[in-house]
Amino acid sequence: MTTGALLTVDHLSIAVGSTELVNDVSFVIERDERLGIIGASGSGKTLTCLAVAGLLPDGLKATGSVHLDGVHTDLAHGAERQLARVRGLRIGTVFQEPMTALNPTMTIGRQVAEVMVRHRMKTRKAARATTLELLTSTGLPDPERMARSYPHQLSGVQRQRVVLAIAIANGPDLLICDEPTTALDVTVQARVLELIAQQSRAVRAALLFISHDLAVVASICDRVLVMWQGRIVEQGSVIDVLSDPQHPHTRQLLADSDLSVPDTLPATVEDLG
Amino acid sequence: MTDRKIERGQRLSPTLLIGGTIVAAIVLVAVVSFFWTPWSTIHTDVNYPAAGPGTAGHFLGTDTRGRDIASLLMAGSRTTLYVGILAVGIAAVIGTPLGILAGMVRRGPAELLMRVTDLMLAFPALLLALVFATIWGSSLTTAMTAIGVASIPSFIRVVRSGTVVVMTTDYVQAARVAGRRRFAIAARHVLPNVMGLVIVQVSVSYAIAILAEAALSYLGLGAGPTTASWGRMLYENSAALTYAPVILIWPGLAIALAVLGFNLLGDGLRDRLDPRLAGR
Amino acid sequence: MNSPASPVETDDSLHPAVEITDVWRRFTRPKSSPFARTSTVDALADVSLSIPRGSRFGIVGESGSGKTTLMRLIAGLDQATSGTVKVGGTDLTGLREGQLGFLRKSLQIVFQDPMGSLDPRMRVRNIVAEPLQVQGIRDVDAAVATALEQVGLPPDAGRRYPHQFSGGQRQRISIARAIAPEPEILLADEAVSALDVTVRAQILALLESIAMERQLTLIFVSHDLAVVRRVCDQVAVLQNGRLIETGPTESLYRSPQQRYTRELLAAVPTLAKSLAAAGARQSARGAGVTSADSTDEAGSTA
Repeated sequence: MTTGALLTVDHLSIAVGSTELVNDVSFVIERDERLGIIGASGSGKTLTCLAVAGLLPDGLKATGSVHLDGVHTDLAHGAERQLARVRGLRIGTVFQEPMTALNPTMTIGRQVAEVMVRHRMKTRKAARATTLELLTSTGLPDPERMARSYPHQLSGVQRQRVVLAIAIANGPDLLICDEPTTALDVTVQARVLELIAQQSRAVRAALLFISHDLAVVASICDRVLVMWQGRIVEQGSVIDVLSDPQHPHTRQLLADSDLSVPDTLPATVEDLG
Repeated sequence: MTDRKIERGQRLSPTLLIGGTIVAAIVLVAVVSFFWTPWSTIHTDVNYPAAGPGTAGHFLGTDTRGRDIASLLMAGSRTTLYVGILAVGIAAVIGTPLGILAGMVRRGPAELLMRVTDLMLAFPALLLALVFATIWGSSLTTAMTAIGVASIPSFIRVVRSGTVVVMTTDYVQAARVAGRRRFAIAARHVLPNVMGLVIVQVSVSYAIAILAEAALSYLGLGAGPTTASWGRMLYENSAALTYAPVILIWPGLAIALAVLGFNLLGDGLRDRLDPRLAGR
Repeated sequence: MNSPASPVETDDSLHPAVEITDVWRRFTRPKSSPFARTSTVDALADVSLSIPRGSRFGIVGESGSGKTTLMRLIAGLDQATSGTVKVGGTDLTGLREGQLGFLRKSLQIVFQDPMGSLDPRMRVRNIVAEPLQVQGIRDVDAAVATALEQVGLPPDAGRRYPHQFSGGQRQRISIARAIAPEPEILLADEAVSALDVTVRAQILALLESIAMERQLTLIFVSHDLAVVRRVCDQVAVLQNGRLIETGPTESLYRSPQQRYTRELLAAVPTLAKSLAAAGARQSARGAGVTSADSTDEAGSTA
């Protein structure tokens, strides 16, 4: 079993014009590690994750570096052609809105198979067989029918399962999830989170998980970074950071997400037990 | 979410700049032609028919009857603008409110309106112009009224689809909760938000009208013999195609340039008015 | 609680704010072809509930539960297929949009998407003024200024356009528009669902203080049970167009009677629960990888 840094983000800053959006961010993701990033909108967490995925929009200037083990290209600066070779092969992505991540004019089956064929991991025929396995393993009912369906014929949660199937199709080393369950109902959120945890484990991918929901991050991650105004203000194990926050902003985030009226808190835990 | 918001400069898009320049140039030429053209448009230089550029003081040469091409082009720009304004004006002024109506009332009479629209879309504009010319006699105004009427359905369709989208937005729901009546919602919320679509449709229809005028005048159904028109220039000089094709190139170029100019201007204006692109 | 109205009393203040009786709302599905049979779907099926004056009433459900349809019926934006919807004692059945003047004075909505509910081509001043102008209020400018101030926006906000504000500020504009005509009922439709936790906390505090100060009836439609628990004193749970369970918030959350309500409650991720699970994961790892129940490590031992 190999251990060591899978992803090294070194002094990453992202700016548009003279406005710094991400400021001197450095962190490391070990193999098999699950790292969460929490922060308010505008904290730079989404941009950081786009930089790691090599998806920074044009017009944004990045300095510093993002290195994935075994890839020579710096993901924050590489040419699109080289980045495209890494995305979908070594890095899988699941974003908030599954509808926009899927091509509405292509069947689900073709889209899943496509990612394997494009990276020359499988022949078209082998990819088709694997597609059905993937759709089954991501918990889609009747995978054969699903493979023939178009995105609009699926429910939101089914689409997110398909996006996940595409993300893990090539057995990536890193799975990036940005608010993957925010658009879903609570009763299915838990199942999708469980699926992400289980599938990333199955392909032995490390996880970079972004959410504004502290409870969701705590339920899936081992370690957490807290971002605020483009900087990392606190990091550590999920338990340490969220049960004994040091930075005032982390405390604020915890206070803001705590909706329960204090004297009924024990009852909440009881209900769950 | 706001992470990805990127500031946009206030610079003019090249599309808007080029389109605006072309259209402004045509307007300028049309205005100048009222006061001055190198030669009179009815003056025929019988000694120099179909002369090449630069002959006997004719900058672009003369047509088959010896008239100055540059002067005809200048005066023809007036016709081009007139037909555009008449035809597109009819289509936009009638089509836009009907489109909003059809998008807001989506039952009974509106449904009928859409079926009639579909029927009219299938009816060729040039055929309608022929019918109009038969009834009211062939003139530029008749021809352009026909083109205008024939363009109404496309306005209805485009504006209706935009209206349907606007009607589903929460700000229209909010206006209803505020107690706004239908008419006020149409004027205050729907119209401003479908304006971008209307502008694009105007520029597309304008280009179609210019081409239709050229075609109708070429068939002798449009501008009369004394009216300078680019289409008429093509029609009258078609015989020269074999021995002096350059005569036909000038009005052809002028038509192509005007169509290009209005299309670019329309695209540029639409982008300019789109709130999603207005990062100011 | 309100004392029950005696039958002879017709005093307006004794009616519940909203009373829904045996309401069905049936939609016709669009036909896939002109020859296909028309099929229907019941967005609301036999729903009855009463929202007391001055209460903070939560309507909870997932997507497709019918909560948005219910909200639209209460706001007079849609008509029930059968049954009656009464607001402030007045039956909305059969009334056309032009006859809903009384409703527009007494009920306003705060919508979910703070961008989509504000006309991108109108200045904030005109957005907030819209309900006031319709009601013919004379000093619109003063009322707009007061409303903007009350939601904590700077005085110059009125001159700007919606896209110049952050998500949280836009939701404040939406709230200012809703409270400017001084309604008795405020309908919040997923009003904090699109906001991040920090802004959500601020907007919730703002809504609560406004409801308290003005003694509003707050109807809070949401899929988020944690938010509803914080805000509401009574709650109704909808599933597939049917009213599953209703009652005082605390008792419903403490002892849910229906299976679906229990499922909903159990699915809400809470920090306490998540941290407990994280602790279990960590100790499993610390104890070594031989532990049988540690599925976490199953892959690496292989």
